[in-house]
Amino acid sequence: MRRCKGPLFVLFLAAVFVATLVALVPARAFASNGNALKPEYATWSDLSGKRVGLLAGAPFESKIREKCPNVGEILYYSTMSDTIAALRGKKIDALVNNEAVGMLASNRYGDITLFPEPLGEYKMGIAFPKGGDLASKFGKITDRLQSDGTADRLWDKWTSGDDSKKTLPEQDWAGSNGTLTVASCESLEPVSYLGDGRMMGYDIETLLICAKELDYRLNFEPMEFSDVLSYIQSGKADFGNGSILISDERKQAMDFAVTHENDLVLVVRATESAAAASDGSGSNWLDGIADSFTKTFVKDNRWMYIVNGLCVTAIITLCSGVLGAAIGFATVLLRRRGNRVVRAIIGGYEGLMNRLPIVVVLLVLYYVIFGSSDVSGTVVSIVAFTLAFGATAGSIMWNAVQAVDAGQDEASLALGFTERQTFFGVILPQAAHQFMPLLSGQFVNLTKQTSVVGYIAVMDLTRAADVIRSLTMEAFFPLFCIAAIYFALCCLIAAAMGFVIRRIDYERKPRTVRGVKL
Amino acid sequence: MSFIEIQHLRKEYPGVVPLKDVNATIERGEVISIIGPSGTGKSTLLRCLNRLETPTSGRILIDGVDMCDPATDLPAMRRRIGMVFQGFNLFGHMLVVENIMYGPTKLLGMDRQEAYDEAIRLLGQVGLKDKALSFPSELSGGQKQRAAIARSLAMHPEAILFDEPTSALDPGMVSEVLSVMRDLAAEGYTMLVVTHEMRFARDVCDRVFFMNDGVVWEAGPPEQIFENPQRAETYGFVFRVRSWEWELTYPDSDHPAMDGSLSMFFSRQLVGRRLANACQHVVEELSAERLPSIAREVGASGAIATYTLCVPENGEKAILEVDCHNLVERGVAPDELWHSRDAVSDALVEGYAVRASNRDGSNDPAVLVYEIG
Repeated sequence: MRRCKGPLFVLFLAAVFVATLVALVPARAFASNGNALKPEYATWSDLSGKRVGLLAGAPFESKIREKCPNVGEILYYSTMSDTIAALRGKKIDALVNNEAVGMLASNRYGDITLFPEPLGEYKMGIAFPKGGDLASKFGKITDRLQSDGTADRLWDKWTSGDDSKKTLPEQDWAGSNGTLTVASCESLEPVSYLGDGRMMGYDIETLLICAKELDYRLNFEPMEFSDVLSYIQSGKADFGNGSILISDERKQAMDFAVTHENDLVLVVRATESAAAASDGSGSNWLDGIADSFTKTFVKDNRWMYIVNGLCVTAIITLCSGVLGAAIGFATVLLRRRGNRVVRAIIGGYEGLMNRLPIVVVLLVLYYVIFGSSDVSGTVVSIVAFTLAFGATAGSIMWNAVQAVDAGQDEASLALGFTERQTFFGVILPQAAHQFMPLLSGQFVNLTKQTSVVGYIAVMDLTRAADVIRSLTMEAFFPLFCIAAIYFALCCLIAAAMGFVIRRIDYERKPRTVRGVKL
Repeated sequence: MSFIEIQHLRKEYPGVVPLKDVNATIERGEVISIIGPSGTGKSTLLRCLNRLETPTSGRILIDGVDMCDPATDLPAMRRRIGMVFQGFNLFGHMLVVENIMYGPTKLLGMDRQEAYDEAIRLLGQVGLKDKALSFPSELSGGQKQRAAIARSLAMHPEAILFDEPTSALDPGMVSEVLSVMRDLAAEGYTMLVVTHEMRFARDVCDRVFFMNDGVVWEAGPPEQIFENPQRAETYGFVFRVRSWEWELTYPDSDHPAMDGSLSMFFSRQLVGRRLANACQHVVEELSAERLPSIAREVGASGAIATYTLCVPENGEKAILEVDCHNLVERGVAPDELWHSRDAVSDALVEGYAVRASNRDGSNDPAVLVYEIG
């Protein structure tokens, strides 16, 4: 039934998306000039009991409490776009970031604006693993840039509304001192962000100036803010950036070079009337969809994120599916032949993998087991999902093999077949008939599960959507798009598996005997 | 040298010893039935012969090859000995004809067309030619078992082991399988058949092994085992398959309870009404007249006799034993008992012969034995 109805389902789903967008888009606004709007909260006491959103890893909680002791719940989000979406969706009442980021966000939307009082001025910078000499080398240069006015010039350039001037120098120097890996936060426009497929922003240009003087080449790895700190501490990166606040507590764990000093600000919703006024800019919802589509896919070739993410998702799924099935099959063979010790080891492996969340497995493999080795996140993901799928596939196959009547074994042996011939000729075909549909379901499951590889900074499909959401501050459109893509991908896999299952289904076999004239 | 020699075969499982010390020899062409109570190692013995089970100790020689020697090429030996299972065990993922071709093509290297033609011939022999292109799941139990026999024949085995081939079948399908086996026996195949079909064992086999307590308790031609067993346990198994027991008391005996118990025994055992009536008649005459009158003479009271009524497997006759030890102890002369016995047995009860006899010539004068039927 999948064969004929699969595409119909995709069409149906696409129709549902369009309908949902139609319902959502009129509520959105595309006006600028958030500065002029009146904030919903204007004094610190207004914020009593209100919820505040922070980027995971940002240590602003104590600073907020200094200003407003009675502040409500503090919630942590992994990307700036999620935080902004939460603010606009009234899940939180304020968010905190540096002035440049806050300003840009409030300019993008007509319904949010800056809280009148800053949280205070702080030093931000680049974080290095504790104890190396890179921090002081970079620190000397960044200090000089701030005293000679270069820093101010760069700050003006990156925070201006004129995107055409925001270009970076090429790394055309020799790099005779080697290449450094930089963990870069990808969602803090204009300080550190992914634009047009590469890292951009104030921090990035500052780093390039330092690297040129010190004759290093830099390799930027874009990731979520919370991953930046993990990368530095586990040694997977030589240093990291992303408007990292320099606090005493952090100084105990990391060394810093100061890149800029500026205000931390709160962003809050604008009052209803002001938001309504900015809504009447004449844009209708169809233009809204077109605008979302352009921002999500067309601008800066952002569709490449989706295509690359899809490739990564497909590679991880296929590799771990095939390797996992192979491992599962190997455990079946070992269990058949092996003694009690072998069976106990396999049972332990399956028990362990079935009881651990895959995210935890990913993190442990990435930061602990492969922590100090230069293994890419994609490879780690394949390893993790191979282990997990191997355990699932192994137990499914083993149960099916066990379920084949023992008499089949005996009849084959009694005819004079060896154990091996019996397994491959008699047991496996009947077991496969049982386990293939289950395995197919698990394979589809695997496809969906790979969406968590973003936890270790792998740029898969889900993560690609996150990046686009960070860039465009579009909360919904990219999510609906990847939902459709996941759905189509899973349909495709289910259809392919269904084809294989039909091929091995002996009950559907024509009643003829191969190689024989009846 | 005999074709199959079994020497001091022993098989132990944790807590159970199904085979204690089995010794037997089997010649080519012999058809042997293995009978005995459940759990006495009949199937285990059969499964040891083709090494589906590994014996704990002892030797099995087949055509001079030691089956227990680790160097023996077991698959090669198994090709020479077919096996038919209680559960049929046809390969579920193959058509019936493919089941039969599977061994010859994969193991004997036979050309597929040739194997197919041979399979069709064998299916014709067991009456299943039109089921060649069916799946095993589409066959009845009896058809499955016949197909399984054909599969085993396709390997041209030198001997075939049958492990309770009809036990899993509905009663109506037993005969179609037995009839195929009868034909094979007539063709001269060497066959070992573990079975509960006593008539098959009696009519078709050359020898019968009665297994009990992990050994071959008694082996001999069917006439010996079924008509004149040499050991009490054999007799017990062959005849006392089903029995009814009752203790007769005097002077207060509960005749209605006895009649009721006996009727229930007959109906449960599906004994024919005429035989049941005859038995009831004999028991009644003994209980109501003969034995009470003797008891009255010697002044005995309490339990005076114990009845044991057996209906052997085929249900055609019944054996009634009347244990009168209590009366003899009270001073009743055996002659007097025997006189009463003959008085009852002289009667013809509704056309059934009632014969007085004592088994084994054991002649315990205190036990009266009647053969009814």
